[in-house]
Amino acid sequence: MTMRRVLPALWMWTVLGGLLGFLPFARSSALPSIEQALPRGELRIGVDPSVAPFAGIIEDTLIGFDIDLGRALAERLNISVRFVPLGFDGLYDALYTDQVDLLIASLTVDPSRQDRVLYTPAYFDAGLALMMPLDSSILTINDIGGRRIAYALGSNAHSEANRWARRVLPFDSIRLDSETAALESVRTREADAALVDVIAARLFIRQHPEERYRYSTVTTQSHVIAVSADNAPLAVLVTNALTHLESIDDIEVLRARWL
Amino acid sequence: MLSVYIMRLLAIAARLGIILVVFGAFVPPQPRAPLGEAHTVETIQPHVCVHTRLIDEVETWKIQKTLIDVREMGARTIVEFFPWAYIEGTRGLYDWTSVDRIVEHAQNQGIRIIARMGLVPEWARENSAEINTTLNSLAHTNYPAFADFVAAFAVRYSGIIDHLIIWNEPNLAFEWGYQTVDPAGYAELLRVVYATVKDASPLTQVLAAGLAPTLEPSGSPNGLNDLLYLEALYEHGAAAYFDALAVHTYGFTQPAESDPAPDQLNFRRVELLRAVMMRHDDAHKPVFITESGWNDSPRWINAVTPAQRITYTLDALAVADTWAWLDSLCLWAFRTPAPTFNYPDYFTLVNVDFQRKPIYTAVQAYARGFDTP
Repeated sequence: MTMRRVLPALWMWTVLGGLLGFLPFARSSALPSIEQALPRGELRIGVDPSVAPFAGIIEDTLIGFDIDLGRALAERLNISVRFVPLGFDGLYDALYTDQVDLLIASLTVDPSRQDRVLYTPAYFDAGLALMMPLDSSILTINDIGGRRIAYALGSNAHSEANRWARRVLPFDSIRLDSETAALESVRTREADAALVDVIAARLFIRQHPEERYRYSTVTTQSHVIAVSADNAPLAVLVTNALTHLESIDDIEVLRARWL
Repeated sequence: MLSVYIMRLLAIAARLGIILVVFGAFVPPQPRAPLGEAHTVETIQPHVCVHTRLIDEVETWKIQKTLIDVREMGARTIVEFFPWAYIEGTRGLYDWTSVDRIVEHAQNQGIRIIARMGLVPEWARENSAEINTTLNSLAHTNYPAFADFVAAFAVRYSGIIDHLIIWNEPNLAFEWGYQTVDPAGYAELLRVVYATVKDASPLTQVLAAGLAPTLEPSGSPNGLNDLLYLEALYEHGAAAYFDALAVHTYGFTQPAESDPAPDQLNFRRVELLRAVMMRHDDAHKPVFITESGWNDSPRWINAVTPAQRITYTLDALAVADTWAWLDSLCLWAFRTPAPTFNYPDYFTLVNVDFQRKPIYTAVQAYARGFDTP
């Protein structure tokens, strides 16, 4: 057989093989069973209880958005759940050594780990946002030229503002000691907008329901769930459950509860 | 017939060559990192040191740029991690390329390196065919193999890198291969490594690993209190097998001057570790604080504000300057090759894209005697 005949044949079999490989997980009726994914009959979730408001410990009880999300997933999967508190540095090693089944710990996709880890779609975007009064004429970063933008000294927002200084119209920087101070400066009208992370913006808006603010996301930092690459059936089930919970707004309810 | 095939092959090769040349013209050239004139570090505070993360850098210019920034900040010393798994991926075959380029650029900037040794290649891990292991799982039977690697490193860089830290935070389960922490086992590792290194390179200084500051009680699956662990190391005879002690001491939410106490994690906890050394007649050995600092993440419960971080860090450097037994205070971490997008990013002094944070400028002013910004 000449190469001209071999190459199309190889392509055809590669594509067909790929399709067949995904087929078992492509139809919801063919989802892997929970027994196949979790033969222990328990979902062990690794969490980092040091990052508010995602996971924390109050009076020996784990609380937070990530904890509630883990419970909701377990309920959807109809399986009992056990949370395993871990330090950030030990999260992935716990997954690699099968001490937990998945990690819900404000993680983002780490490309260097994708040989050993499968990630779900995002369940929260913790990127930076511009927060301003509802009636502000600032809609996007293109509108901040000549305006007063507050942010925390030494923060990611500070770095982002430095980047902007090189590519948008000049704006006045107000560098303050914390995100809270930056947000307060919008409230007192010393700043036209605050550059903070979405978490701070949402918490501020929630804490001041009588006042009217809005935020506009300017960078992305997607929180995802990590599953061992050795347990593809679990990744499929968790992704399916997450998608379902998102579709019925259950995750939005959790966001509203904590953020 | 054969000549027709040869002609076709030549034609294909010519087309490929043209494509490569054309597309090559659109690829931007990589920044070069030639070694220039040799520098020295200008500092009035020689104990200022930073922990770098250079080994995972792909591009040499980033290594050079990092070390230039370290020098310009006034830090005379860096701690850098040299993973065994990267260098001896195949047993007996050493690839020193990644180490050499860091060493030559550090020398060029006039910076001293303290090397941290660890991270186990797959062939040396515990039962790696049967159980899931981590890169910190070293089979007891391979202690001599690790010792051979450390000795080879010591010999190759003798006179350039003379301080080697053996392992990292062995009082944490995950740093001990997610097994129960074992002071006796670590003391044995030190014994094997010390003897081999000293035979090969007598002047090399062997540093016992920095322990994680933790209050984990005896029997905890996560680890063991650093004070208890150090005490246990001495009880297992480890004193004879290290020349200096590496220490990790973080401030967490407390100021630098906060009094040390066994039930508190703060910067001056190093004084309690020093007291353990003194109780075991080891006062003559120096201490290297190889990890320290504060974190200014807005989300982490153990963090402080950026302004507090600057104040506490400068206070810590001033306090440390009064400790005659201390060689260096190394801040974790100067810069990382990639962000974690989580609170560890708020330990750094320089961003991934080389933006200098306010903490960098403050430490630079302290180390070089500039006016405080």
